[in-house]
Amino acid sequence: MTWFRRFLVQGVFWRQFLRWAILNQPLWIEPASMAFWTLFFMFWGPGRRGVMRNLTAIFPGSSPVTNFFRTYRVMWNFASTLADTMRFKELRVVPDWEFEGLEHFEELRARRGGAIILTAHMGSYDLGAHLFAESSERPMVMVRAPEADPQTREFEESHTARTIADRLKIDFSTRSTDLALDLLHSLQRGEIIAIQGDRITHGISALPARLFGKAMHVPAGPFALAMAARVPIYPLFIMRLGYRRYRLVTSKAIEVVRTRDRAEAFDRAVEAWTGELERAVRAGWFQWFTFEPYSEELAA
Amino acid sequence: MMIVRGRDDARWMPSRHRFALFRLAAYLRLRRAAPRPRPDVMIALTGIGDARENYGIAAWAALTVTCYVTSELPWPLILAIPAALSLAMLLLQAVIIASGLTARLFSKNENQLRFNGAVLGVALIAAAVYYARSASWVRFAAWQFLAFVALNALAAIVAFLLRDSIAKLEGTFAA
Repeated sequence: MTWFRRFLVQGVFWRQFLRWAILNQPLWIEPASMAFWTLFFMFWGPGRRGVMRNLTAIFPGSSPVTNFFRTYRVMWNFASTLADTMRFKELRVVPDWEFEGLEHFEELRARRGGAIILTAHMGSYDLGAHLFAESSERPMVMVRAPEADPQTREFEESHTARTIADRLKIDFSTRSTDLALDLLHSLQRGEIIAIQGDRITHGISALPARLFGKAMHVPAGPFALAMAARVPIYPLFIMRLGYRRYRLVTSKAIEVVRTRDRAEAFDRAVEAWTGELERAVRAGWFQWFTFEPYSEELAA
Repeated sequence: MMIVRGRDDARWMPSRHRFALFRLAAYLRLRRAAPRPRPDVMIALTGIGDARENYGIAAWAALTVTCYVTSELPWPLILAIPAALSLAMLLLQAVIIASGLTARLFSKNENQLRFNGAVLGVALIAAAVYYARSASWVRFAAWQFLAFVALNALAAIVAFLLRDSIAKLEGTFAA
């Protein structure tokens, strides 16, 4: 009796439906459909509540009614981002781009050695990675958590294999120890590693942090890799500004300097990272796609 | 696909738009605009329309169909309008899904955007023609729809006549 799993929120049916819609629905009617289907997904209780709880941390003292409408905007942006990504994968349609912190982005591109891009669940990870791959000669490894649903995972992997750029490689955070060694070797070869550093998945080593005054955890991997490989971490965020318009925000590199007190070095780097993350989320709360409370204090 | 780097005014390139009215408006805007260099910008020439075009047309089509459905519902407006809006969205989705599935019976090509766009356009025009003959208020909704369709057709003729001028203007971005 697992046939209905495909229709659950993370089930494969919605990815297949999205793909079908991208290939069949005229663009000039898409915004109306988007508005309609976003309303439908507002019935997804856990996701809606997760976003509303996170919004209470970003906007202290905000009313539930305002946050309810803000949640609609987050869901709308999520749907739009998924559509833009699918449209890129299927039809190679790219959005318009703006750059903030262009000097840091150029520094990252021009760097001879490896580097780590630390980003968040904002905008389109795939579009940003492809932009980088198109504008740089260096290979990039995107580390991501696998899809929870096995059918969805299979669907995404098959489509990614078909559409991914030559210089892009996907790897999964669940590979843990093997992955750490592979990534270290990639960095030593001068490649770029892109990791999402605003949440952890089960079984991944983590470092404590604070975001909007609430305790949370960030993956330890990027900071350990940066220290081991002696490469900088570039905070980079992909913001969806509007209809097929994205902004790539690159911040000043964070160096994880190896000292006698490893924990203190990590603390400083994590604080620098969460400072950038907080700034990005405050400016782009409507597309921070975190559908669970990011802190246990919010889940209580 | 052409990508223009470093010029913010490339947003007004007519070829970015799908519908003739918007292409013409963009052409007139671009003719008056001074070059706006911006090193931090990349504009894609996709021909699928920008926010104004697609949001505008989507809202216009959805609201027009909502008017048709409202006129059919025997309820007070305060109940009929929200119900009609949901039904209108379902109707539009139904037409697209039916068209898409039908197209797949005759073609192996998964991309049926053009065909479905044409079918939806014809369906909307047919609905407008039907309701334009009504004696009730809904005829105004239908007539405004047909008026914009006619205006777009006129704009297409003008855009065709100006095609060389448009190409010349857009050619400055290729440089």
